[in-house]
Amino acid sequence: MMSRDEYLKIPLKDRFIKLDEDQEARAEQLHRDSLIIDMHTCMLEDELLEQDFVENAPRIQRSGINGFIDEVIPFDEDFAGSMETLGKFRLKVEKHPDFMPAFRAQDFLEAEETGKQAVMFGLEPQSFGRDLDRVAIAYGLGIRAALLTLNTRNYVGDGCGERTNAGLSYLGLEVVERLNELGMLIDLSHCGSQTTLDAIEASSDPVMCNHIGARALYPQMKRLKTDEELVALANKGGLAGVSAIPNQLSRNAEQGIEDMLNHIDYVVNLIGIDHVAIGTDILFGDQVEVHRQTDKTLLKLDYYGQELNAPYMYGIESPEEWPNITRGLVSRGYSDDEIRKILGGNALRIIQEVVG
Amino acid sequence: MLSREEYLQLSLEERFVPLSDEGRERATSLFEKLVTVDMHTHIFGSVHFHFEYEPVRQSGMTCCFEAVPALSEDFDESMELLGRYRSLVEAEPGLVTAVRAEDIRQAKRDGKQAVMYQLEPQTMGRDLDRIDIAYGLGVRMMLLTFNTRNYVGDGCGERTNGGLSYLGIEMVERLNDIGILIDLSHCGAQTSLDAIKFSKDPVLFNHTGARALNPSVTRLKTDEQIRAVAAKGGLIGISAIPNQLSSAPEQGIEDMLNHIEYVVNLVGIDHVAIGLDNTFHDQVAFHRKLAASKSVDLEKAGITLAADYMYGIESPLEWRNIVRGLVSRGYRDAEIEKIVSANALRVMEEILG
Repeated sequence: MMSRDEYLKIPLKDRFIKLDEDQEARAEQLHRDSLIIDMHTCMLEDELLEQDFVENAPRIQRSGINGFIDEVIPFDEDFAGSMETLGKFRLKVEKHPDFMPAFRAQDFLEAEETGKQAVMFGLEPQSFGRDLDRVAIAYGLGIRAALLTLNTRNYVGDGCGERTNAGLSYLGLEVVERLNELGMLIDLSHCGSQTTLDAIEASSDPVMCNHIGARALYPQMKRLKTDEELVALANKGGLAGVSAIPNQLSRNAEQGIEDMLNHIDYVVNLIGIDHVAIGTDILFGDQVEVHRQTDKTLLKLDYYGQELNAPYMYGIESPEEWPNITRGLVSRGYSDDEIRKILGGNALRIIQEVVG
Repeated sequence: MLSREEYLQLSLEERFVPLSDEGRERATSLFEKLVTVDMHTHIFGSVHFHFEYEPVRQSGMTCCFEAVPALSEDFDESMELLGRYRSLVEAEPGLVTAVRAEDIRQAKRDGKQAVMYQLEPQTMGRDLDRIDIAYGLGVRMMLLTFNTRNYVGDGCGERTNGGLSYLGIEMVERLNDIGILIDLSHCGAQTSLDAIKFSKDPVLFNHTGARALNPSVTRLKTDEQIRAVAAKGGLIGISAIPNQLSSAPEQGIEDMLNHIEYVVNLVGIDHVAIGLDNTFHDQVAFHRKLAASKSVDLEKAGITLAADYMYGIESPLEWRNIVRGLVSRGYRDAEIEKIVSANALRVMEEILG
């Protein structure tokens, strides 16, 4: 297998899944004409991940997507700090001619029409601490999605890498209620099993695990969701967004777009086409290196069982490889309608239903 | 039964446990002679900051291990409050700041009273370096959780019973390393058992009682938890909080003595101490206010506000009555000394140096 550097020297079209002529035409048209929403990205963060938005903006446009939910990442769960980051993100987005902020479903449709990128802002994880009023403050400042916990414990629940598996706290129930009332998306991607199940049950709205995969395909990886959790999510009308995170979908030395497609196939078979979306969690730069550096301080990979076996994800290593997801879905035999649901139709539906 | 106001009209002697002349004399001389340590006080009021020296002086206790009530769990706020407390204590010639057992003994020899500081609950958030800061500013004990969940564990009133988190285990290690006492009085059952297991030092339930005597109150500790703390060489401090030790309409010093006796019988005399947790004000009114403001959910805690006050131990002013009560229950001088200070000093010596 080649190194990441060698891989990135390959022309884009050679990184893509090979299709026959008909498939090629279909994939191209689907990618151009469908509404595409990436439910989970980290493309704006520039301090932790050393990315330059102005430099990267054209690459986001080249991905061919119409919008994304981008995450403010307060690993320290500090509220004031997270709102400062949000301010910086919004400034970037609002000053850039090709971008627009998104606060409702309609904004994604408008972005599709005008050829812009719509950016909805999420908190990964939420930083409300013990102060429920901060939910409304965050909403007022533009946040529309909140991950309840990262990998460890906080005031509302336990993360998937925590040594305990307690469910939502009383405060957690109140946070869910407040998020429902205000119309904010609830993400459970990093939550522990019981916290995930409790939140699905407690929420009056559909909820999502927007950047995950199926635990059944990689049982030791606690970041992935069990069949029980996925079925409960779908029964609530919720959404499972399949990610493209290296070393979370598989433990092979070589990983890439086919692993992502395997997880999509599995989840579609388990809970149906209407509950599957894409949340790549993609960023610019070397994600495995980020994982390596943040291992002990922030992510604590061994808490949830992540090994760093593969150095990158062939076929879906950077945002401009996004068309390869559409190509992959064509290659796996999905119909046009099904592909449109996965690329953005289902995402738009839940945003419409929850956020408005 | 008297109302609280009528009760407060009584002289101290009238409020105290009746004893024979000989018993009364023995109790008086013991109280004068012995160091007395209250492992959990609110002499600055709980939540609402208020301080008067005179009642503290009258109480006669040697050491107040004062709890900074950091219900917001905000670190900066808790350190500011600590600073206020310390500035007032250091301005009062009759009081000295203590950080170890010997400071307390010295205070007794000097005819002074010692004040120590604890955080109720700890306010470290996710930043364990704050432990060093808190230690540097004078904190020598921390309660790991209040009644609900935080980053390190679940409180006794939480809907879940999760144990210590990974961060919680690290916190216990850091507290051990630096020499800060660990209190688990408000922690949930699994969090308590985990902390007892992971701590290399003895730990405390410094203001509690035996669940066996009042099963509805989740704050009180089960036999299993009490045994585990004792097996670790730790302490069970018995409180005088109204409507926790009993749910009867009349409550007081006898309830406290019942809990002391129960715990002594369960784990022996070497693991029992005093942590009154009362104030110089109307506690039941305060609990009512807390419940109304939803800061504390009495129903979830299994508490009914049946009694209006604790006869015989309504405030630290009645500290002498604890010694009288212990005399009335037939404890020997050496046993009384263990309960009112020797056990506490032993654990402090071991952990604080």
